[in-house]
Amino acid sequence: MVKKAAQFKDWLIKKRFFRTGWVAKDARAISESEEALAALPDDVADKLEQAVNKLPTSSFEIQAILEPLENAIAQWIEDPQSSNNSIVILAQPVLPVSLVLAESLSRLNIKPKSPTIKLLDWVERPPYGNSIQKRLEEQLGDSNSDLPEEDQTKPDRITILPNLCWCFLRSAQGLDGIDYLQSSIMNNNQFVVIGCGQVGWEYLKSTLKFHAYCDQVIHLPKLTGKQLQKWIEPIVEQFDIQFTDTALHKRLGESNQLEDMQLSIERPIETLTEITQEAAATAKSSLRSVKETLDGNVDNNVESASPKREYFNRLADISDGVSIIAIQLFVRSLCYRKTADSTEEGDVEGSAQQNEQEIRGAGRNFQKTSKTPQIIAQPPKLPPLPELSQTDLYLLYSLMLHGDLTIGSLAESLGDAPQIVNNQVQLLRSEGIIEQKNGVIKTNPIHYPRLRRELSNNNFIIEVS
Amino acid sequence: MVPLTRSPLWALIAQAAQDSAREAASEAGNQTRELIGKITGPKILQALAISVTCYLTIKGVDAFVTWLSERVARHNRLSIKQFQPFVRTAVLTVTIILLMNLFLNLSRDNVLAVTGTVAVALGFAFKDYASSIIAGIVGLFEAPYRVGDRVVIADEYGEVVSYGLRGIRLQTPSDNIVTVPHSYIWTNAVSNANMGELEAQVVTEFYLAHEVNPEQVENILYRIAYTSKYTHLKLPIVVVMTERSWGSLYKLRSYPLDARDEFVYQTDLTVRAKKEFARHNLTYPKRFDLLENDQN
Repeated sequence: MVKKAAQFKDWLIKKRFFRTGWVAKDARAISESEEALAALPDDVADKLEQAVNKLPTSSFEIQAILEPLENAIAQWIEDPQSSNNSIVILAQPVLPVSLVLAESLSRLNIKPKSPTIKLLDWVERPPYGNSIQKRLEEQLGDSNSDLPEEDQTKPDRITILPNLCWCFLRSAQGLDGIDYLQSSIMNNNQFVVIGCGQVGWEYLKSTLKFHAYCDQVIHLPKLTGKQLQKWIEPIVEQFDIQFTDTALHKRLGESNQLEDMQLSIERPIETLTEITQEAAATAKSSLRSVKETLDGNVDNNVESASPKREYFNRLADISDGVSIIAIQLFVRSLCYRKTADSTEEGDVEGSAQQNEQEIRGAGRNFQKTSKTPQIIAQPPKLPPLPELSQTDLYLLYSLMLHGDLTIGSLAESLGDAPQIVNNQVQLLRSEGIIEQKNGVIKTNPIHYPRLRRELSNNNFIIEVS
Repeated sequence: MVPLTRSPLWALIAQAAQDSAREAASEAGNQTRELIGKITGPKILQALAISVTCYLTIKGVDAFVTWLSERVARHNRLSIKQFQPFVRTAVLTVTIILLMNLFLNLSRDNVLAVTGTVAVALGFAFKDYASSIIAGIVGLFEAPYRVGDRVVIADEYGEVVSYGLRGIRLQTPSDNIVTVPHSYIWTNAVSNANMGELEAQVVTEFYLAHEVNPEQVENILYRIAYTSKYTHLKLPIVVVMTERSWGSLYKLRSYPLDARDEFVYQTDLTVRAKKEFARHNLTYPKRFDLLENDQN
């Protein structure tokens, strides 16, 4: 199983990078992270992008899955007749749950005499809602039908559904696949491992009571600041990224304080939230600075660690602890700045332009400051969400439900004509809310936290209960 | 014999009546003069300014409430709109008091003197208007309808878009605005679909032949409701069936996420259900009897 899972994982990354990559690119529109990368020198940006995309799944996420998975499978192998024969892994809809599950399965350690493994190795959803059930039947089949009766009580196989959201489409015929799973797979003499997006899970729970057929449900944990820092540390070290101190007295000299904040009187609540967050982060950093000064704890190492720690705490807070959102916000916060690096004595002639007044007529040596360009991580901020109409919310909820969709599937899910849906998709794409490549559409992860709150406030089933 | 009208007694009576009338008129005149203050140019300008300010304030509050209600989370929209009639009433009351203070010397005696004389006359003229105003004030607290509610009143169905001093304004599905005086609620029933909530139940009817398998139809209708983008999944979805002489009537009772989408939601359910019926070859009734009563 481990080898199969590892192969599946590699295949997912190679063939469906747009769905699974940390910084996947829209075919046409430039995302927030790409804009930040574009501000860096080309060679640095390329290396940074490659390094980010090569980041493995966070070990904390994998560990959160691995232990309960191993225990559940071991328990089932010992007692196949027990009712505990399934486990569901839930992830945020923007996180590629199939990749996380595949990576966890590739590290699974189970007994040598394990049952056969049946992996639903789809790398994309079936094109039409009415073809899902047929394809599930073809691939998963019925494990028990050919076995003699005495063998039907033995542990037969482990079925893995890396992404349950691909096994249904929100349409009249699109739920037939779930009916099939409920009647054939979940009740049979086999252990089922399912990966699913949280929104899709909540939908199946309230409509078809799918949770009644499942035993254990594991939510991928929210990553803390410390965990995010540990995960992104290789990139920070590789590119020697510095973190700005957001303490007030250190920001007073900077002219572009409110550049990123799009304050608008038309969105008073969002503007107030933005200002409050900014003020809270600045106040916290200032307090920390004052405390350090009073304690006399102004050691260089501690001083650089604190802004870094505050940065990652803030990153965890605004990204809701979701790794893919955190990494995109991290990239978005990077900029290239020349920082004061070293001092050296130099001659008057040939000095920098800003020292011209001091130099003119001085005729003596002076201390010259050279500036080395460096990548700086500014305080991370969520990009503002543009105003969304009711029809936009319906479309975005549909995307959250399924993870990713083609135009045809999205139109079927919404019950609208494909052309109308396509028009709407292109508008949202131009605003950066969704991304599209090779006919596949998905929500831009960086907008997920705000979008989730917007949908929840408008009565859509979003929150995990 | 001297005629009665030429007798000294008659002359006395006539003189007394004349004196009495002159005295009453003089007293009324004095009272009026006491009550009504001097009407001067500046006072008129002041009154105009107060009236214009009142008008602009009401318009401003209406616009602000509408703007704010469209920007907050959906479940707060109606709560914000319901402030509108209270603010309007307060502004109008303040304006009337200011105008009365401007033109009338409102002492206790003056008020009492005028009230008795004028009240009867005005009472008859404005009894219906007063009834509507009082009903409106009672309605603010009893709340048979509120701004944002979808009601059936005076044979009209629509959304209450405005709650004025005298009546409400309903916006019907055909985009007509119907004004209904508040006094209507004294003796008539008001049917309210959502009572201040954002969600209102939508009932979609389907007519099928007797031969059709009812369980299959139920499953289809539940599936249609679950898969509509408009459906509010946190609220119940129920299919109710009734037998008629011409066939079977199925009613799908469900809630849209936003009550404003009521009709487009019904259309969505109907279109998608009909597709499924066609796919399963479910037949429609051959005849109808529209006179049969429907209780559920």
